[in-house]
Amino acid sequence: MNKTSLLEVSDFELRLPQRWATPAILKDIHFEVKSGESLAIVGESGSGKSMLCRSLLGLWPEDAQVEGRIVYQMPGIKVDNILNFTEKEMEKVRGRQIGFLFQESMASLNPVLRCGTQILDIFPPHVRRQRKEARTRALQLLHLSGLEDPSKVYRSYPHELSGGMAQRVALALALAGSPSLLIADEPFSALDIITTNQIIRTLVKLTKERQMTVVLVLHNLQLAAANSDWMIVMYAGRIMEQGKTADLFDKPSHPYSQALLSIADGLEGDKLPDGIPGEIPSIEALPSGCPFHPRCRYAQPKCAELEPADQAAVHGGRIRCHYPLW
Amino acid sequence: MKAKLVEIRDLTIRYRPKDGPGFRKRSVFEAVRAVSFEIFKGETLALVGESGSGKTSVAMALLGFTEPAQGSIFYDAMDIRSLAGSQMQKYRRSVQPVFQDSANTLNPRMTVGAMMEDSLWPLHDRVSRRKRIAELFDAVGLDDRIYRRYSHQLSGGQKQRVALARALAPRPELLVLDEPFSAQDASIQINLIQLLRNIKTTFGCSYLLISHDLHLVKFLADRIAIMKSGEIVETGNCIDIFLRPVHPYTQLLLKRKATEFPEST
Repeated sequence: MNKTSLLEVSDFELRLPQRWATPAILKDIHFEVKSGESLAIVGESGSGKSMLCRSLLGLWPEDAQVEGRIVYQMPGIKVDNILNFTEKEMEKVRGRQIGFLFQESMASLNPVLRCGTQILDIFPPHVRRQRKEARTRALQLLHLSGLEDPSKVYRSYPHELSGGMAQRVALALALAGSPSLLIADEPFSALDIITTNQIIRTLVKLTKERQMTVVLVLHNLQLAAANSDWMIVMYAGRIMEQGKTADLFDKPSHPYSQALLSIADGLEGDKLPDGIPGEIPSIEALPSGCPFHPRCRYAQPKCAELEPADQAAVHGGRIRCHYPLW
Repeated sequence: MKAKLVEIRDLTIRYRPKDGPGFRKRSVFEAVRAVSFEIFKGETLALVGESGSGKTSVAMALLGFTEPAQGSIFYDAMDIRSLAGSQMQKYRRSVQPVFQDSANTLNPRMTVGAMMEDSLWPLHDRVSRRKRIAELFDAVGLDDRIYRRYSHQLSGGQKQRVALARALAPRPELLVLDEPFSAQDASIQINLIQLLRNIKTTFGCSYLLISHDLHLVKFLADRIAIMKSGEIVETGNCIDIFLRPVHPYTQLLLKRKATEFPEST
C-alpha cells in the first residue's frame, strides 16, 4: 500500500440475493483515496454510488454477499481488510475517524434531541465532562459550518430548522469527531442552488483547513469539477472511468463520461441538449457484454458480447471500454 | 391577448405553530406576503426562489390545501373560496398537482393500473377506462406492461411518469409541478423537460412550475416570477430575466460557479 494512501479498495464485489438470482450490485471495484485528496463519485441515479459509500463503512445490507478488500490506513483503525473485521473493530471504523454526511440531513438528526445535545454526544467523554468547554466547542463547530446564529441553533430541535440549516448542522455533526475522512453522499441534491454553493464552499474551506480527505457523491458534474481532485464515473455498479478530475473533464475517454459531460455543458446553453437515450438498466436485468452498450452511440458488435475489463487509460486513470475515445 | 386562467391577488399566508408539548410558543410566521400574479391559458409560469421562500405555500393555496390569511385566488374569473359542490369538484379536476417526491404519492399496495383506474372513476365503462389509460401511458412514454406492476417495481423515472399520467387523467387545464427536477440527475431532468414539452403540445394545458433552478426552468417557462422571503421580487418573460435581470437576487440566482456566491446571505 502506498504511504500516502488513506483508503484502498480492490476487487470489491457486493451481491444481493433477489428472487431468482444473486446479481452483483457492485462489481470489480478498484480505487484509492490519498490523504488530503478529495474524490468525487458521479453517475446517474441507480448506478451504485450510494451503495459504494455505505460499503466503505461496512453498512451493506445484512443478506449481502461481499468479496474483495477495503483497507484503511489511519490512526485507530487496524490496517487490514474491513471485510474480516469483528463488529467491535467495525465500531472503530464508523467512529470518530470517519465522518458521514447523508443526503437527507433531517432524517439523520434525532428529532427529540436539541442540535447542541447531538453534537455533544459525539465528543469524547473527557471533553463532554467539561461542559462549558464542550459547549464552546460545539458552538464553534456550528459557526464554522456557516450558521449565523449558532447559539439559537444549539438550542433548536431539528424540526425548527430549514433544509439548509439542517444540512449545516449535519455537517457540524460529521466534523464533531475531527474525522480524517469525510464521506458525503449527495449532501446537496435536495437543496437550492444558493444554499448548495454556500455549503460546498464551507465544506471545501473546512476540509482544506483541517487537511481532511473527502469522498463526495454528486450528480452535479459542475460541482464535482470545482471541488474534487480525482473523479470516479459509475454505471450499473461498475467504475466505467476514473482519473484526475481536470483530465477527465478535458478528455473524457469513456462514451458514458462523454455523454454525462455533454449533458452538463448543454444545460448551460440555450438549447435543450439531447439526453442519453434509454434508462439505466436494473441490476436484475443487465444487458450482456458492456452494460452501457444499448445506450452507447459508439457501440460495436463486440460490446454486446464481451464485458470490457478495467484497463489503464491514456490520461493516467483507468477505463472500462473496448473502444475508448482517445 | 390570452385569457387569464388564474389570477392571484395580494395573497398572504400565515402559519401558526402548533401549541402543546414539544412545541415552543412562537409568533405567527408569515410565509407569503402580498403575492400577486396571473397565469394565462396555455402558458408556463415558473415560480423560482430558494428553499423556504414560500413557493410551495403559494401552490398549496392555489390547490386549496392551505387557507390564505388575506387575498384572493381567481380561477376562470371565479373566486375559488366561493366554489362549492360540483363547481369545486370541477375545479379540483382542472387543477392537478405533481409533487416533488412522486414515489411517495403512489399507493404501495395498489398496482399502477388500479391507481390509474381510480383516478378515472367518472368513466363507468371499463373498456373506455382501459382505452384512456393506454392513451395516457402513450402520452407520458410508459410501456403497457407496467399496468400490473407495483410502485416498488418501478424506477424513479417511471414513478414520475405514472404520477404525471395520473395527474393528466381528469384532463386538467393547469398542472402545478412542485420541484419536479429536484434530486434528479441531469439525464433524467432532460427527459422530463422533453416530456413536459410534449404533454403541453398534446394536451394544451398550462403549467405552474415551481423550481429553485433558474437554469433548468428556462427550457420550459414563458414567464418567470422570482420569490424571496415570501415576496415576488421580479417578474418578467424568460428572455428578459436572463438578459436583463433587475433585482440583485435574480442576478445571484443566475450565477453558476460556487465562488461567485457569497458564503452566507
